[in-house]
Amino acid sequence: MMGINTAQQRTLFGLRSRLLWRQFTGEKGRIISALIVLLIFGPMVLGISIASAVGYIQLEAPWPAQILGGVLVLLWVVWAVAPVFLGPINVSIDVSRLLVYPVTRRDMATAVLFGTLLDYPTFLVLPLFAAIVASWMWSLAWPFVLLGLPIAYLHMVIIGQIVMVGAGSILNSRRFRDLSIVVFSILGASCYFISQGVTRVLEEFVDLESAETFLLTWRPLDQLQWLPTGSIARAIEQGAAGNFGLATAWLGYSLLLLVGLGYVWLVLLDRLITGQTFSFGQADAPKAAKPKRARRSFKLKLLPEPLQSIVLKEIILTWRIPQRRIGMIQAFLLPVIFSGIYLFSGEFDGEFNGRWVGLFLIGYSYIPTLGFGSNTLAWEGQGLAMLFLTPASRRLIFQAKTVTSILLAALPIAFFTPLLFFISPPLPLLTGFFLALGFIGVGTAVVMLFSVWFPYPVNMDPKRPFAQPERRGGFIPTLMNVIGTPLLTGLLGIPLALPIALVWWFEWAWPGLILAVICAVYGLGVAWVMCGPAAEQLLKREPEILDALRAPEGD
Amino acid sequence: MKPIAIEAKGLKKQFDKKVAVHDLSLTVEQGEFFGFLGPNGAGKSTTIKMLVGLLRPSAGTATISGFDVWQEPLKAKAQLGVLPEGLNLYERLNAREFIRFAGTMYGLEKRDVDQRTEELLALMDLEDAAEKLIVDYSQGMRKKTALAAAIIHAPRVLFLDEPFEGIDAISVRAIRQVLDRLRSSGTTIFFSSHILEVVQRLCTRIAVINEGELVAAGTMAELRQKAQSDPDSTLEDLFLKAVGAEEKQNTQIGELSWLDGLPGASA
Ligand SMILES: Nc1ncnc2c1ncn2[C@@H]1O[C@H](COP(=O)(O)OP(=O)(O)OP(=O)(O)O)[C@@H](O)[C@H]1O
Ligand SMILES: [Mg+2]
Repeated sequence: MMGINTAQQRTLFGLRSRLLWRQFTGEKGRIISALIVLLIFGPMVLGISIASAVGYIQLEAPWPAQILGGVLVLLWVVWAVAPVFLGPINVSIDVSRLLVYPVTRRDMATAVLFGTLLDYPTFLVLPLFAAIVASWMWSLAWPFVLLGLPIAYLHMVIIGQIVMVGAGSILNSRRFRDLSIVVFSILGASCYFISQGVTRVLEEFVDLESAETFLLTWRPLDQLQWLPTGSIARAIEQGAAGNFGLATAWLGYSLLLLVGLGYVWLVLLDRLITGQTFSFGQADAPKAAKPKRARRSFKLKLLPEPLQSIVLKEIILTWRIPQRRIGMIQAFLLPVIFSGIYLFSGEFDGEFNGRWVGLFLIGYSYIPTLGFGSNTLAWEGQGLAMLFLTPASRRLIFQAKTVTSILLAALPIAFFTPLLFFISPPLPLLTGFFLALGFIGVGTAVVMLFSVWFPYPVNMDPKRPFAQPERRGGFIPTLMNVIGTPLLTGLLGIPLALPIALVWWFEWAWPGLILAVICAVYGLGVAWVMCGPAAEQLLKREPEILDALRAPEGD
Repeated sequence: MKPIAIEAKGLKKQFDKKVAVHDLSLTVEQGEFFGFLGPNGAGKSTTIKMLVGLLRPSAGTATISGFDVWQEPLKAKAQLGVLPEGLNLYERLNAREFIRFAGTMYGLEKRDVDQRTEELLALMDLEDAAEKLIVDYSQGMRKKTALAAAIIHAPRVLFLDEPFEGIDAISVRAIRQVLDRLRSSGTTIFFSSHILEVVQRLCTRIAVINEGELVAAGTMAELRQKAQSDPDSTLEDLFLKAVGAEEKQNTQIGELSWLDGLPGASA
């Protein structure tokens, strides 16, 4: 090829394939996570591929073409949003890494086109494309399949690049990444809820018959055909029907869009190379310094210094580390989602025995307990070594962590309990509330101890929020965290069984409630007392903990 | 004789097969300004981490002001201020919060914490950035933040791993003034650096480590004497000699002949 630096291209392609290979051969943890990804996404993609193939072959016109359009547009959209998730972990998508070398724009573009052949999104595309080829090649449309699919592929690569280069400065800004973690995880958690809600509303308000006629006459391709890859579905459909003129026109339209978008991409690349990055407003613009007094809530003032300072720091960090903030938000969201699922699932028949709500509260309290308390040393991040350098009382550190963890876990419980009085008789609910407090205490005690014994690395990298941590805890720590934690919690929680039995089995509400209050004191006491042994263990194991959590060297 | 501030006896660290520090013994007296030199990968940071209690030695002992770092860690740490190689900052705090937190953890009164924090922020020229999260700081700002946190409690013994690398000239001068103040008030300072000129100017005593072993230690005069160099040889000369890099470099640089003759450059 003229003007292409082939030595450079070969090196880049070689680098890309080596990186891909290393994903599977590096550490043991890597191959396992690769397998997990494969196990989750593999069947999904294969399923969609097979289903679409069956659709192409079995269904009557116009459905095969409609499905084809849906698949092609879906792939295109996936590629467009891929940079948001994959950009920073994906070498070939992110051309900015090549900027330090004297690589021409043309070489960069070529490198991207070849490099993406070895990227994750491509593995998703292959089976879907195979299904299209297998189903449509035997029709009159075969020339359009052969020409159209490569064009569709180029469209996908290019839209991803435009998003990557065009919005790069935003995508790479820490604030955007922080926000995206929170937004995506909340959307993920409430996915079921949203879809249930939508169907429910549809069922309630949409006349079934008209909905059916709507679905039968719905032709999404009529709109999707104007999108770059939708038009290729049109071209293949027309080709299969023998309308070669129309088919060529649609293919030409897509090609025209390809040239246009390709030009936009090259212009953006040029700007990137010459340093005029295209940006929508300044990323991470420093806020004007405004002198702020430290905000301290009046409640914290009750705590003595330095306990107060550490608790304050724990709370601030839990909120500011996006991976942890998710936990805080979900602690409030999950009960709403759970009850939503219950209400929509059809189990709910109007007759509702509120007596069990208290029991549910106890079980639920374990989720925020684990979320806020477990692996607490790892969440100190880089700062952990600084903490270990200070002569601060280790017991105090754990007391602060315990207080914070219990406060945060109790917050959603305290928030929901008053609301639940509307649907539950008061005595069992109050019993549940106190037992939940006790359970939070017991659970916190255990996770604090385990955070010293079995710490495991977490991903706190603001640039790669969705990546797995490079190093993982070994087999034993993982096992102990998964099995040991609930086991020991259950053991320490045995006294709580008595009031549970009294209230929900024997229906002796008052004695149960009194015992529950005692259990709450017991659980919180266990948490407080456990700070001693945890601190003792910590002092013995500090360098080993640092080593187990050691951040991997930069890439 | 002055009391001993830092004492290492037979310190050794082995990572898998690699011996990073081998049988290292040294003593630093109270009030000394001790320079710790060595090529990249020589084992400087590893030694410092073992001396301050962040890395468990494979063998040997470390003592700070008479407290064994591994037997009485909290008492030893109460004497210490450390600027570690990795800085170890809480990325999601801002400089003010971080320095305050450090002060509290070192057991200062709240009033002192507040006052010293503001003074240190001003000294390090971090006031404008004090509300931004550390995760968004430049390398030099991070180091200054860590340094401020390391000295807020006026430690008796201060360990600094490459404090001047990556810091602008204005801040270097400010930091040097602080170090001078600390030293005249009796603080022992142990620091590693690659900026030999600064080490020569500041340090009362210097040790050189190479491939995990101590190859030279003493005052400038003692080092010159041992190396049998002339009286006005610089630390750089002595350093290169001590690590045996002098001849090696000279022969190797001869081989890079392709570096000469840039197009357009006059001979
Ligand atoms: N956690 C570790 N695991 C394995 N090897 C290590 C580890 N930490 C350090 N090393 C090795 O120990 C040796 C000494 O490293 P060290 O960081 O002490 O060098 P240094 O003198 O501080 O160098 P520099 O001037 O570059 O900071 C190096 O060869 C390094 O590769
Ligand atoms: Mg070092």
